[in-house]
Order: sequence, then structure tokens, then C-alpha cells
Amino acid sequence: MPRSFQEIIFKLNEFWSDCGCVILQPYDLEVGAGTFHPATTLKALGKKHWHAAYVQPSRRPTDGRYGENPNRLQHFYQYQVILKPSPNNIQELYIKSLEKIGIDRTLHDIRFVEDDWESPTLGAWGLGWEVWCDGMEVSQFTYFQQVGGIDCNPVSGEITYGLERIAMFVLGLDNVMDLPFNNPDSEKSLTYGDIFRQAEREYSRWNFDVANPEVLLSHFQDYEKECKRILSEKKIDGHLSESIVMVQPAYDYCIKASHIFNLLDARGVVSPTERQNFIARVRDLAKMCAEAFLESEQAQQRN
Amino acid sequence: MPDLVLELYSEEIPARMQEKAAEHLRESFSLGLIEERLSFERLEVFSTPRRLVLIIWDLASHSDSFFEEKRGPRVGAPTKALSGFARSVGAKESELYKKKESKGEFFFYRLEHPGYLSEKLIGKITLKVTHGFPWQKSMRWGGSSFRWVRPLRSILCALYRENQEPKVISFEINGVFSSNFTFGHPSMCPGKFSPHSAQDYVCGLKDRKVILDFKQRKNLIWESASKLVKGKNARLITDNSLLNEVAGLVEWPVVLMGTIDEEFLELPKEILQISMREHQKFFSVIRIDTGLLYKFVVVANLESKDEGKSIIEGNSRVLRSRLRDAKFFFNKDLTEIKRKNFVALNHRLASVTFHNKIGSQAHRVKEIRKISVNIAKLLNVDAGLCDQAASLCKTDLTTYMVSEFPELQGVMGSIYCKIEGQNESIYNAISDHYKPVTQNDDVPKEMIAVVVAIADRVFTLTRFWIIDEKPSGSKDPFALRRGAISLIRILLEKKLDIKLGDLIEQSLKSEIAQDLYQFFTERFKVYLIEKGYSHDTLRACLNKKNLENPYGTFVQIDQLEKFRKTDLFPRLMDAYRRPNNILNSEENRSKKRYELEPSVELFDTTEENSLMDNLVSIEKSVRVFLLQKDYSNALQTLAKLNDSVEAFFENVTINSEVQEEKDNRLHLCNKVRKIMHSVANFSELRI
Repeated sequence: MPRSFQEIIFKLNEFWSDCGCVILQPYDLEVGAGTFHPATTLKALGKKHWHAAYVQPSRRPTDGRYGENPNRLQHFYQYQVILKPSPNNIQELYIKSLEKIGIDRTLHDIRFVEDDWESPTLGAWGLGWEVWCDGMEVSQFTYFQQVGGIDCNPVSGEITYGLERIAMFVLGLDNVMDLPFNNPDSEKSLTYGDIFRQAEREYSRWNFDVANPEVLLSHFQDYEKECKRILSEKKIDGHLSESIVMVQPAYDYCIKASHIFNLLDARGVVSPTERQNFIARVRDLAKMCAEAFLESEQAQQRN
Repeated sequence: MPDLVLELYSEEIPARMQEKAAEHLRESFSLGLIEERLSFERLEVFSTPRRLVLIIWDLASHSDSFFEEKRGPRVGAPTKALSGFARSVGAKESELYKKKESKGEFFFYRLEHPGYLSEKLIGKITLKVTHGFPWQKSMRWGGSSFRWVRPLRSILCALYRENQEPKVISFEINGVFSSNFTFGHPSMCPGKFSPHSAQDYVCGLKDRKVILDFKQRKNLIWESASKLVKGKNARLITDNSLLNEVAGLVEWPVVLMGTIDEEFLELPKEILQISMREHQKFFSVIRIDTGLLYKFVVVANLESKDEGKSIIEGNSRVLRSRLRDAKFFFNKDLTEIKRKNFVALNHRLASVTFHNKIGSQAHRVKEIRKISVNIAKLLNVDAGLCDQAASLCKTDLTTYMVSEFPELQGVMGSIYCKIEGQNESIYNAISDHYKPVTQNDDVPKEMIAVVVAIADRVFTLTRFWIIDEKPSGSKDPFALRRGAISLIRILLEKKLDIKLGDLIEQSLKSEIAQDLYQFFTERFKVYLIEKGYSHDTLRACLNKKNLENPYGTFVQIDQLEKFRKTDLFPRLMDAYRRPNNILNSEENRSKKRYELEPSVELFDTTEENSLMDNLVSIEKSVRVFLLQKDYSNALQTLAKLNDSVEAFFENVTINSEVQEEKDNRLHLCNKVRKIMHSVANFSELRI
């Protein structure tokens, strides 16, 4: 049985590594969920097979509760697995991964409850479930049908573990801040709260009251413009005289714009109409990146 | 005769889709069997979260053979034609025979279509049924292009004969090959299982912790839950739609009970019940002596090693954290309401958008109030109370509770108003004006709630029509179809005799209003068809017209439908058909209409006179019945025309040589038809 938050991550890494996955590191930009990592969004497109797992720190500014709510955080961790094409035994693998972190299926009631996933900002959707363990939602399980408005073929299976929740469940704790982050028996033991409570307070204050809406808004516009500009550059690189479509740099700006929108939203300066509008603008960027990715992949295959 | 088992084993099928899918499997497979002339004794379907199952008991080994009579060339045709025909049906010329028909004498051949082995046909039917299966939502997986509701993982399809090895019917769907095995319960008995008979399939699965029959699971859940509370001074709250849902989430229901922490018992019952139901699919248990909701019942899919201890613990923990949130926000709302009062929260509605092209929630409330007052006057309900209820009906959208738990809209407003000491019919209207939310939901009880409920839907539908955001195809983001059905249900079930035109304000442009009426008419039809009314009855009563008065039309449809099952119906149809047929053909030929009042002076026979007398008296009584919306008596009265119509047609020749006389008889026929059509358009009806 794992004794700490980090041990759960180690065990998941070990499990998925044994399944042949690439164990990646988190993406180095602020994102709302593990799905935004290019290893999921972009790699779910096109024909190439791809199996990867990684932890992704995720930010949802509106969920900040100054570190006082036992379940809600504006910064949390997701464990993300992407298997393309989705293997026939994917559900079985998932259940085995739960066993690996100490969830015994003969003791706990594991259920797949209909929940179709959709990300309007990514122009992505899929069918699947939320996975319940004794009534607690511990994962989201999705078969991607579309990303960036483009049909996925082959289809990827995506598994997203809510790490804090799973850890609370496995370690039998009611408050996220009480989670032992490292070995609780060590002299140097620290809890989740020791590490993140102050950050939650600071970000909650900043997200809700202090972030500068004008600055954010101009960032949003800049990022949007930059994303489009990158993609509109001519394909041939000046140095190599070869085609290099700059999908990832463009996608970075799409992610950034998305995060800025989340910040604006938390700041309470986005009216419902504008909200739809912002979402549509980010989705347009995501779609452009998805199309460019496919085009680039096809060009690489030709070479 | 052999039994057939077909099991489509997949990853978890959404609970709400299982029963419909099983029914479709039954219908489409039966149809396939009929088309292939395969007879069978009995066909059953089952569904669980993982399986869709069809069992056919006593299936014929072969399809029925049959003869087809093929017509060849005319007798006397060139011999070449004859030999060509014989070749085309694979027969010798000597096997052909002659037969006379109205158009002459021809050569014929009896072509025999032999029976095929059921083994061959079942695979064919299965493939046809599974491809293009009408799932509400379907998906692809892996590298497939085949669509199913969730990945299809295994197929059992085999014929079982007594004392024989099972015969696998082999076919392949998207890389899955049919076999003679299945699997037990995924956590408790995950191993392979190869049944040796159809009976063994059902029983063997039960031994492996799978109850195939949905109803059996449902009963088991309810019985076990009742047993748990028995003798404990407790009562289980009935909730059939929740029961249906949980029965679709488990293959082996294990019912467990847990306790709600003391600190949450002070929360209003509705909050506890709804958040437990919506988020965790718990049933609620009430303590009889105190009336407090103090326990929950959860249905697990597992007989666990520790007899459910961990499962109850885990579920309690989730509930605790949710209720802690609820309590926090509830108290926050209460503090605010106590400082001012509930209605004061209304000022915040101005900054909440309802729809960017329609306006804010404040605007919506203002309009709902206006419409409510109008409707209250139409229905003779206290307009003042309706106005007050309408003014408070969306206030709770600004509370913390509803922002956190949107499913509590209406309920919270009602609770807060009750705490404030508002009039009971007002706080009931706040929660009930959202009803009916689902198909199984009741319409609001009290008239104040009914008025606000109608006003809310009228507002929504008309405004979305004005901004041209109508539902199209599968897209109905604002649930306008459901809104229209709710409105229709309220009008019908509350027996409200009002016209749509009186509900939908005059301000609506006529073409928009027309379009909306048409939409209503469509919804109305769909609703009644689903209730089992026949298409042609609906057509006879609506007949290209748009719906004007939903309740009135419903009464007409309902009574006509019932009348059609009586002995009088064929008599009425006889009385209708003959005059109608002759009019149709004469009108076609002469391009004239025969709409004048028949003139008595031109009558030549007693039958004409007696039909006319009969018509005059029947017309009078029918008119009175129609005014009273007594369609049943109107229909019975019309049937009385039968004798005089029959006598008329037996003894009077319409085709008189005197044109004037002929026309006059057609005018008489038209009078029959006109009276009939004042009740319904019988030309639409089949007997």
C-alpha cells in the first residue's frame, strides 16, 4: 500500500511504464487539465500510435478556496494516460492500475457511470464514464472522438486520475491538506498543506481580486494574434530550406490564451455572452493548430 | 428444437439507454426472423450494464420453404419466349402449366424457395441488426469504423440442442468473433463461462453474480432496501426513476445502508434528498417519529469481503464533504436573507444573463409576471398571488446554494420563502413551476404554480422563436422541445380549455406565431403517438390544421380513439364512405364543388326526403354536442345516419338525366360529409 501522495505517483508511473508507455514529464505551461498537454491534444490526432503517461499540474482559478476547502484547489495534479489506439483491454488495465495503488476491486465498488467529456475550448469531445470508487469520482475515462474539430482515427483512450482525490481515498483522509506528501514516517515528512496551503491562499487572492484585467485582456489578444501569426508563416524554414510547420509553438500560445481566459473568468469580468465568445476564440486557435499538426504529419510522412 | 442465445458484451452501457436498446433488439430481430421465415416459440431480451441479450426458445432449424407462382409468356407466344422463360426459372417446359387470368391465358411455373438452415440466417440477421443500431449516442474505438454505444468486447452466439454440443453461429463484428463463451461479474467472477444450454446461460450467469433481468434487479433492490429499514422506525422514500437508474448500473445489486452525520440533520430535507439522489444515487430514509431524513441507502455492484464496510465508509465520506459544502452555503444564504429579505435578492437578477439576445433574468421575471397575470385572468385564478409567485420564481438563481447545486433551483427559493413565512401557495409555486421536468414527473398541483409554469414556458418558447433559435435536428440546446411538451402536458392534464392564441401574446408577428403553432402541433402529435394514440386518429382530428386548443383537440382525439373500438364505428364509416367516394369522383370530373343546401323541391324519392330530415335533426344535436365538447355523443349520433344513407344509395340513382336533380343529390351527399367533417375528417381513418 502506498503511504504518501508521491508514492502513488511512483506506482502509477511504474505501472504504465510496464505497460510500455512513455513516461513524460509535465508540460511547462499553465493548463487547466492534463488533456491540454500536447502529448494528448496533438498526439491524439493523426495515424501514429502513441502511448504515454504523465503527471500534469493543472490550474482552475475559479476553484480557489484559499486553502480552506478540504476538496477544492485552484492548483492540483492530474495523472494522465493516453493510449492510441485504445487497446481492447484498456478497462482491465485501468482496474489493475487501481489495484497497484491499493484499491482492491473485491473490497471496493468500482463503477463506470456515463459521463461524456467535452472541452469546448479544445473543440474536443468523447464518450466514456466517470469512474466511481465507493461513490467517489476518482477518474475520467474517455474515448476521444474529435479533437480540434477533427475526427480521431484511430481513437485514443484517455484516462485521467484526480490524484488528490485518489490519494485521499487510498490514504483514508478527509482533507487534502492532511495528505502526507512524502514518507510520513520520515523525519522530514511534509503534508500537502505544508507545501501548498500558502500558495492556495496567495493565488486565490490574486485570482479573485488582484489580477489586472486590462493586462490579462491585452495578453489574451497578444497570444491569440501570435498563435495565428506563427501558423500563417510560410512553411519553408530560411536556414534549412525545408518545410517546418511550427505547430507546437503556435499551440503554446493557444494554451496560454486559454489560461488567460480562465483567469479573466475567475476575476469575474467576463459576462456570459463574452464567455461564449472567448471560448469560441480559443477553440478557433485549437482547430487551426490541429489542422496544422495533421498537415505537418502528412508532410513528414511524404519525406 | 434448438434455443438461441445472442449476447453482445460491451463496456458499460449508460443506464438510461439499456432498456430501449433491449426493446429495439427485440423488435428488429423479430422482424428479421419474420423476413427470413424463421419461426420460433418465444423470444426474450435482457440488458445489464455490460450485456445486451436475446434468447430465442425453440427456434426452427430451417426457415419455411414456400412456393412462388411465376407468370410466363401468353399462351400462343413464340416458342422461343416459352423456352426462355423455362430457362429463367430453371424448369423444363413440361413443368409449366397454363392458367386463365382476366387478361388472357398464360404459362406459369411454381417456383419453390427452399428453407435455409437457421445457422446461416441468424448471423445475417445479427449483422443487419447491429450495424446502424439506433443508439442515442454511439462511438468508435481503437482503429474501428464500426459504431456501438461503448466498445463491443465479446459476442456469444450459439444454438443449443438437447444433449448436443453448442453450435456457434460464426460471424465477426469489427474484429470480434462470435463464440460460445461469456464472462461472469467483472469483479466477483471475471472468468470465462461456456454455457451448455440457454437455460444454463441464464442460471450459470446468476451463479456468477449476474442477474440478467432488469425487473428482477429492480425488485431485488427495492425488497432488500425495504428489509434494511424494516422494524427500525424508518421509512424509505419511493423514487422510481432512481430505482430504474441504479438497476441499470449494477449486475449484482448489493443494498447497503449508511448514516448521515448528526451535524447535517438540521439541513432541510429537500437539500439532503436531492444532493444525495443527484450526485450519489442514494435513496433517502426518513425516521418516522421525528420526520428527519437520517440515513441513506446505496446500491453497490459488489459483495465485498468486508460485507460492505469499506463501501459504506467511502460513500459516507463523499456525502460528508458534499453536505459540508451545502451547509456552508445554506448558512451564507440565510445570513443574507435575514439581513434584508428574500425578494431583495432580486436586484442581482439584472446582472445575470438569461440569453444575450433576450436579456437578463430580471427581464425574464418581469415578462413572466406579465404573462402570469394574463393567464391568471383567463383561468380565473388569483392574479395578485400569481404575480407575487412569478416575481419570486427565479430569485433563488442568485443564491449561493443554487450556484453550487444548480439542481436545487426552485427548491431553494421555496425553502427560503417558507422560512420567511410566505404564503404556502407561493412557496409551492416557486418549486413546482419547473414541473414537469421529466417524463415521469407530475405536473404542478396548485393553480398558482400552474399559471407560473405556463407563463415561464410561454416566455421561453416565444422569445427563442423571436430570436430564431429554434431546435433543429438533434440540436435543442435550450430544451425547447421538452418545454413545449411540458406545456402541452400541463394543459391536458389540468384540463385547461384555452387557446394557444390566448397564451401566445398578440405582439408576436404572425409568421413567427404560425411557425410556433406548427412546432406545437408537431410536439403534440409526437406526445400523443408516444402515449399510444394512432396516427390516423390524430390526422382525422388535426388534418393539416394547426393545433388551436390543445385540451379540446385532445378530448376529440381521445373520444374518437375510443369510439373506433366500438361496434358503431364501422356503421359511421359506411355512412361516410359512400357519399364521400361519389363526391370525390364527381368533384374530380366536373371540377365543381357541391356545397349548396339541397333543395327539397327537387327531391323525387322518399329516401331523399327521409335522409334530409334525418340530416337536419342530426345536425342540430351534433352542434349541441360539439359545443359541450361531447365528441362521444356526437360520434354516436353520426352513426345513426347509416340507415338512411344506406337506403338512399340502395334506392336512388345519383346519375339522374336531369342535371339539376343530379347536382341536388350531390348537394345532399355533401351535406352528409359536411356534418361528418364538423366532428372529424373521417377520410383519414382506416377501419
